[in-house]
Amino acid sequence: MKGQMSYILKPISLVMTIALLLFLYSSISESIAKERQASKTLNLISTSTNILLILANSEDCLAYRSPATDGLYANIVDVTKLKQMASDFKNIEPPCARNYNFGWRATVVEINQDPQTPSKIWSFGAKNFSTGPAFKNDINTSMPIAIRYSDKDVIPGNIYIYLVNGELENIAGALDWSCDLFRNGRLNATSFGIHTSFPLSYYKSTNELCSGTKQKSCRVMSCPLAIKDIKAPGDYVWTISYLQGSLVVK
Amino acid sequence: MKGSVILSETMLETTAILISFILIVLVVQLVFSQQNQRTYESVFEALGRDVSTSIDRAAATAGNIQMQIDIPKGLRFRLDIDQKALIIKYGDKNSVRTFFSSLIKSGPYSFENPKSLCIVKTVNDNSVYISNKTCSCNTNDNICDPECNVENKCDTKCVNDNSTGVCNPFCAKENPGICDKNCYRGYQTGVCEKNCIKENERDGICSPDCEGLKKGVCDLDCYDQYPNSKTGYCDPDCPAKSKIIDKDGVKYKVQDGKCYTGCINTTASTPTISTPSKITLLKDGICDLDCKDSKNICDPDCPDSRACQNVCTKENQTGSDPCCAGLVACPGDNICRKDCCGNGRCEWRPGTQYGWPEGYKTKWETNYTCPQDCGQATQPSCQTGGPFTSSACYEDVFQGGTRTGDKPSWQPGTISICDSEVKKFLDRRNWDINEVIKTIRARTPEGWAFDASRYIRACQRLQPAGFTISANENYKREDYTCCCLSECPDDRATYIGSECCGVGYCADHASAVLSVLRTLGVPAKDAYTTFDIAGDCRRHAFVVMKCDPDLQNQPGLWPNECNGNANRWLRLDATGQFVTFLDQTDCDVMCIWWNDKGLYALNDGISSDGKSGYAVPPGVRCGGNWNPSNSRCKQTNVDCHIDELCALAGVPQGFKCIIPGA
Repeated sequence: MKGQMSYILKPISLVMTIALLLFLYSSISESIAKERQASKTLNLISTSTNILLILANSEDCLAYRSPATDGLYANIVDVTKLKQMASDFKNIEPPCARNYNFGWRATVVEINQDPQTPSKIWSFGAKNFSTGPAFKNDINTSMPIAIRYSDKDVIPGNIYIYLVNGELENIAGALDWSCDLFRNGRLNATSFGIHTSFPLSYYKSTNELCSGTKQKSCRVMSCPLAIKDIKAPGDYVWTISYLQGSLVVK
Repeated sequence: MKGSVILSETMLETTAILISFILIVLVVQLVFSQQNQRTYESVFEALGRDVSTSIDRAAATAGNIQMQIDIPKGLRFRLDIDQKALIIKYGDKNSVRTFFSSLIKSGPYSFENPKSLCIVKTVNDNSVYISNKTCSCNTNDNICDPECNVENKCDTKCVNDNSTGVCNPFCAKENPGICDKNCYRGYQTGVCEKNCIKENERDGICSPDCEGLKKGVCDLDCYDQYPNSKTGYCDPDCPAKSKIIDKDGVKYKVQDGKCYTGCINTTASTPTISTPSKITLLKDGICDLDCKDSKNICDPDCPDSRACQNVCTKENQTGSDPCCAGLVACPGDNICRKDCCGNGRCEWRPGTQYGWPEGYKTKWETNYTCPQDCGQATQPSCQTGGPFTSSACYEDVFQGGTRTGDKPSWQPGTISICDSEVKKFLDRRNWDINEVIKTIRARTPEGWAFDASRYIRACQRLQPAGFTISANENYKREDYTCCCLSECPDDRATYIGSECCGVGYCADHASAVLSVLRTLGVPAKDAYTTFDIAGDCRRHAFVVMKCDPDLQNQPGLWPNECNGNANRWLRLDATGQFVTFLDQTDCDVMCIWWNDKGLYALNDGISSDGKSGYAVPPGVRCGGNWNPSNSRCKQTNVDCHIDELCALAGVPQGFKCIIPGA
């Protein structure tokens, strides 16, 4: 009888032990996944704040440099630079604050104390973003600034940013980063893996990489591409080279 | 036999224990190895994120800054920083890549097992420098420390240091005779390194730091870069002394095909209708024969430069440029005249054939202002308006120092029907309400400007309609918000000066628009001025007009907007520069309507004391929070002053009452 009990109990205890271990393993994996997600959200918040600060305080972006003191003032933007940026970067992020992991669009709004006068608005950055399964997460945030017209004319305003993490932003960012490195002669060839939830197509006439089937999201690229359309979603490994100013993607 | 069974059982037990032990070990090892890998990965990801964020925060600082990151002990990795990316390589083939957003303008960097990282932003050359050491400015070692820029010290090792490229402006002050190539760039470094510029030598760099500075030597790179009407950096030492010859007491530059316009007088280069579209060089004592008269460039040092003279100021002369000083270049034929009426071309408003440029409202030619060119039309008769000339401006009501409401303050002599200025305004718009609406909708200078200094003692200074109209007709600027008084209460005023005087604010605009409509012939029952009062003192005056079907067949009185909208009320807002339907705009409290006949009588909802009721004609609708009931007025503490005004119970002294339908 004792022997029979042993025959039943031992396999059961073995199975139970393994099940317990698997449960522990899955719990750990789940908490790791949650931690990663929290880390990505934190990264998105941190990046959006950094981009707003760079836009407002970097001389390469919008910051006003006083010729008298040859210095910058915190969060005072130059209206001339603002107008130029809104005109030059209608559908792509300006290089001074581009982050190759994300896509964003910024809007500067003048705070108008007179309700009769319409507020002035300037906008620049990417126009389209990943949608559906290609979209990962996004954030909307803002920061107060001052818009300088002249020494006597400085008007309060706000700068808003909409930052998106998605597959199209990641893929276009990796290609644009490679393009910049190729142009600077710091890269001969490279390869990286991508994941896409939608077919990808490239339009040479507008230099846009588009993701989607019927409603496409498109991004203007830094370099022209020589690439075959990707017709099915999935994981791909791309080998990139640079030929006569174009990225050759295979 | 029994023993073999026991043996078999023991063997089975041992095998089972062994298998279970192996399985447990395998699972535990899997968990531990994955955790180990994940821990490493998350450590390096966090490190990458910290470094990237620090780089971005340094780059986004308006002044100099240094930040030190201490790397946790025991981590072995290689850190590569290049082109907005940071790559950490660890283990055999593992790596983590993080992007940052700022342009650092230095690098690339590669550090093996760094213990500390020092990130320095130098504002003079707008760069971020990264080194694998603790942040310190040591002027005695053999290393260039960008931290010395932050501490306002010169580190002599930075001068011409290729490895870092740091431009230390304090070294330039301490060693004025040395050319520091790190400070001599095609972008701003905060230092004009004049020692790097050699006479008659080109090095491909025109330093923006030297713009406008006299250095005693002409930078040929700047000279080459900005010839032929292109504006750019001004090098006042150009052209080079060796290229100057003296002839008949005048210094000439030897002709080399390059007209250097880097130092153009930009204030004189903006073309206007009355000034030539030419570029005027700064007077430098040298006549540049390559510039002289080429592309209409005026070099004031050339004694006989044709471009420096006003070549088309003579009357009746055609000019390729509209440069008729003291005259006007008629848009129809470009001939300079004192008056364009009579030249056979009907020169009307901007956007029409031969239209005047923006800001020339007083010169528009129509059937009434210039029948010679535009064709004769019968001058409309002007009916005299009613006796009520007052307009209201709202003031705060205080009780014990606390604002408790609003009350209208009336000022006579503001509504002016058939005033000469009003008639001139209508002459220029062909006595057509649709042309009036175009002006109300137009941006400045065609539309009406807003004098923000009217908010100083506004209620004591309401002005006659003709005065407002005349000032706006003569206003040629694009500045919408301006100030007549130097004591300007609005920071948004982009122009302060006499041209702004009289252009008015909303109450003035409303009186003027009402006078225009009534002079044009819109019946009193269809046009009123009103004042909307929001709770927080946001008061605004505008004009309302009914799409009265009786006007449909009367020439010049039927706005296009009224087609298919009979009996709706239009809102004409010259201050807001829009015309739309009243029911599509937001109102809050609209207690009184008035025109030259007086105040509109109360109608529906009159209380027993006759002091409250609807102050607007029946059927009027407005959007927003507006409710025509008197209770609304009470709720917002707005004193409609119905007892002072016009209740059906009686007409107070000095006020006329418009009876509905009259």
